Amino acid sequence: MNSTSAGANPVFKTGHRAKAPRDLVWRVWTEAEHLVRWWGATGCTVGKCELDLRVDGTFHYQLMFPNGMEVWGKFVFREITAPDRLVFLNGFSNPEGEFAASPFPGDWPRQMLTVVTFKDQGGETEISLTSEPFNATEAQQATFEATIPSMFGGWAGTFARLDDYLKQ
Amino acid sequence: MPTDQLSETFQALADPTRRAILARLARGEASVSELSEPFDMSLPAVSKHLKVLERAGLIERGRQAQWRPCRLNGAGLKPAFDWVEEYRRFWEQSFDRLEAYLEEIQNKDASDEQH
Repeated sequence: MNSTSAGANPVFKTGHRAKAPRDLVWRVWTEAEHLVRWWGATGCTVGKCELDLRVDGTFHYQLMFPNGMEVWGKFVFREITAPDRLVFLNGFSNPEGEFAASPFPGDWPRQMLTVVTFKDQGGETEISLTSEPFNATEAQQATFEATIPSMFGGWAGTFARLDDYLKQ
Repeated sequence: MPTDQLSETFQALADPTRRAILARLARGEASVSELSEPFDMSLPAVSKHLKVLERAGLIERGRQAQWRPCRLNGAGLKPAFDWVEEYRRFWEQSFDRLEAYLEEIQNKDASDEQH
């Protein structure tokens, strides 16, 4: 089983159009005082965090979930091109700042390679984000590819509705 | 060897032929010979892949004697989909918070300018 995918890397895509000028959006993504105000899922707050914005520098953070769960994660920056492109490895980490296994159930890649681009759209900003497993095991990579909902066409909607599991 | 159902699911998904079979079954049930058509493969080879998929809980097979149609088992795929959905949700929720924060600081800037 050498070939997990034919050709292109499996990629996760999402995006958002922000109602703010690109320079501001860039600052909010790259300055700790701003980042801690929005980073994380609904209801999360950033506890401890350190941001060292340079290539090979890290953003290491503690996320507190509303249910009391505490999760550590980090980015390692690979490319910083203000104000239009940010590339980093991201994943769960331990409090010491080393990449670590996911605290959530399931098999997650330890590191994702994420590319975020910011496009100026006349006073607003189009944010595009892609992620792919980085140094993932074959099984993890295949899972990532296979679970991109578009692969299963009509099934995507079904799975998109399976959103209660986090409430367990 | 996989020790739990989820690992078995991942292992089953790690093969491109099996993923192609799943993609075909997403369009509706099919017999072994129908499934073997797009692949340059013998029926026994296809059957072997189907057994892996069945054991992993990704497909179900009819019990009627000769024609045992295969169909996708959505429930078996759920754990694998769960974490991609979780990852997507995390980013979408972060984007929502980003938007709220951008609005907050821009309103603040605007009111600062008025004073």
